[in-house]
Amino acid sequence: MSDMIVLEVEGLEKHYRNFSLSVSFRLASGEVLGVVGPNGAGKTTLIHCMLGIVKRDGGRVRFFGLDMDQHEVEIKQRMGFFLEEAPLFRRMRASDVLKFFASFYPRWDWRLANKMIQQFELDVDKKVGELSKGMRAKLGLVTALSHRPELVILDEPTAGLDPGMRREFVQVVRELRRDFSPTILLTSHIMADIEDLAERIAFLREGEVALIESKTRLLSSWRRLRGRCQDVRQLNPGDWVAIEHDHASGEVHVVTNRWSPALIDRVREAGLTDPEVCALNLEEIYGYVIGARGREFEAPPAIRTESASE
Amino acid sequence: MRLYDPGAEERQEGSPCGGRESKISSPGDSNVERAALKAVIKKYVLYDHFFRRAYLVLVAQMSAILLVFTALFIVKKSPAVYLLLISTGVWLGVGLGAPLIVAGAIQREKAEGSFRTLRALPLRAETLFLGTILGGVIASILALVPPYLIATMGLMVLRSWDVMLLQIRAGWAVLLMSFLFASASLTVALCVNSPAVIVNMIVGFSTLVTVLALSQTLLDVRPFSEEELLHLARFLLSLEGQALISAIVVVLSGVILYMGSRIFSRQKSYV
Repeated sequence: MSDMIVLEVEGLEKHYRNFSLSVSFRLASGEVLGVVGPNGAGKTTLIHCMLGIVKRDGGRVRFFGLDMDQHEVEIKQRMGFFLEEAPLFRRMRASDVLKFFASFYPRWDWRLANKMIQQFELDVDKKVGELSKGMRAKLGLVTALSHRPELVILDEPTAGLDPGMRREFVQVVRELRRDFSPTILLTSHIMADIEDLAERIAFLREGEVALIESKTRLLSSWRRLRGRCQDVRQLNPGDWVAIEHDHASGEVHVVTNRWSPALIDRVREAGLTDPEVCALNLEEIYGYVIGARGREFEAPPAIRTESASE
Repeated sequence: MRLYDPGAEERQEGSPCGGRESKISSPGDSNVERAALKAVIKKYVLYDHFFRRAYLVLVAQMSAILLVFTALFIVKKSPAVYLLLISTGVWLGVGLGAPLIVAGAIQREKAEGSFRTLRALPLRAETLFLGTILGGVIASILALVPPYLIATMGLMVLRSWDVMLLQIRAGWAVLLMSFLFASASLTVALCVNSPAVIVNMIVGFSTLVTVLALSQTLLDVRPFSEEELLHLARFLLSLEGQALISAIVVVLSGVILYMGSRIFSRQKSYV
């Protein structure tokens, strides 16, 4: 992964009556950034604002160092996109859709397109509306990747796909990375996709980036310490992402996003006996960051936002 | 499963296979703009099944009707000027119908969500706008060809050379009307996202026309005398009159297109 910044989103803002999006992040060349968040968090709005489908109210979006407002065509020729639910033209034949897309990309590679068509067993003589959801998603991938884009934007590409198709999709993206290592921005609310593909993860919550961190760092810095405690009030809520008390078993779980072995002594001092350290998976981390869990303690999440340049 | 082979032509153009150097456009690259424009026109006129089916049915139906009338006129040796009147009606039907079908296709794409794919492609909003309008205009012109040829042949059989001269002017007038109508209807289809707004616009426009027509009677406006009408008709059929009307229609269409293009490219959402 080189240090060249492929995508720079600076103070992007979009306001609706009931929802506001305010986002900043950077994406380095060759990186795979997964954007996760619950429904309505603003993932699709973010993609639409970046692609110019929806006009943003403020901020700046730069691709490959170029301003999107001034170099729209040039930028879009270098990127591929897959929109949510692959809204391709339902009354057109798949082959015509491919021909249509090919006419916009000077670097369109029919050999690569045909390879994918063969691999996906895609019937290009059928109209898009006659294809199954999975096949439409595959056609969407062919249109997104056949010009070997430097940046690929995938918006919920596996939503509604069965597990087999999902696995196939993950495999295709992996092969693609081996083939020409594009930078990928992937949104999903399926954590397994993100876990499989992303190197860095941005958690989007109510239109804002709650946390952006590398996957390795997330998995190494988030821990749950489990033990028993006589007085939970001795554990300062400000020090932890969450403190969970299971009244039935008497067990107390404290969650940290700044794990270091020294924390064991700290919880011991706070009265937690025989602390056991457990690693958290991304699904669990997602739950804490998005706020679905640990809310009853009203612990201010000790979360910081970092940029790619750091 | 069938492997798609777009043929040698595309392979030549697709650089990695064809061996040609790939090229990313620079701002204002006219070749890229032209290719994008061509692709948008082809999309609506050639690739879209909804458009193709509705369009072919419209043209075939109207041509068949005109063919029957022409045959009747020839058999009954009726005055050729009436054939011209009927033909003009048919030309107007296909000339105005074709852009309406394109407008329907656009609105359908907006409802399905595929229109946002068009905006995500590497083409400027202005190019998409112009390409769609041109698609409608080309569809209109192509739709006019079969009924125009049928009427021409009918008039030739009837040996009505003077009416044939009028036919050229009537054809030109229909062409201009189609251009104006394509500009207006497609501008509305592109710029308005809600079908409810379109329905309101149609109802509002119809009401306005009705009110204007009624107000003439209610306000006791003096109608044109026969002499004034003849004078007007002579002027309209003269070269000067035709040139003036053509210029007005072209300017009006130009204004609609300019404003439409500005509104479309400044739209807040293409979803």
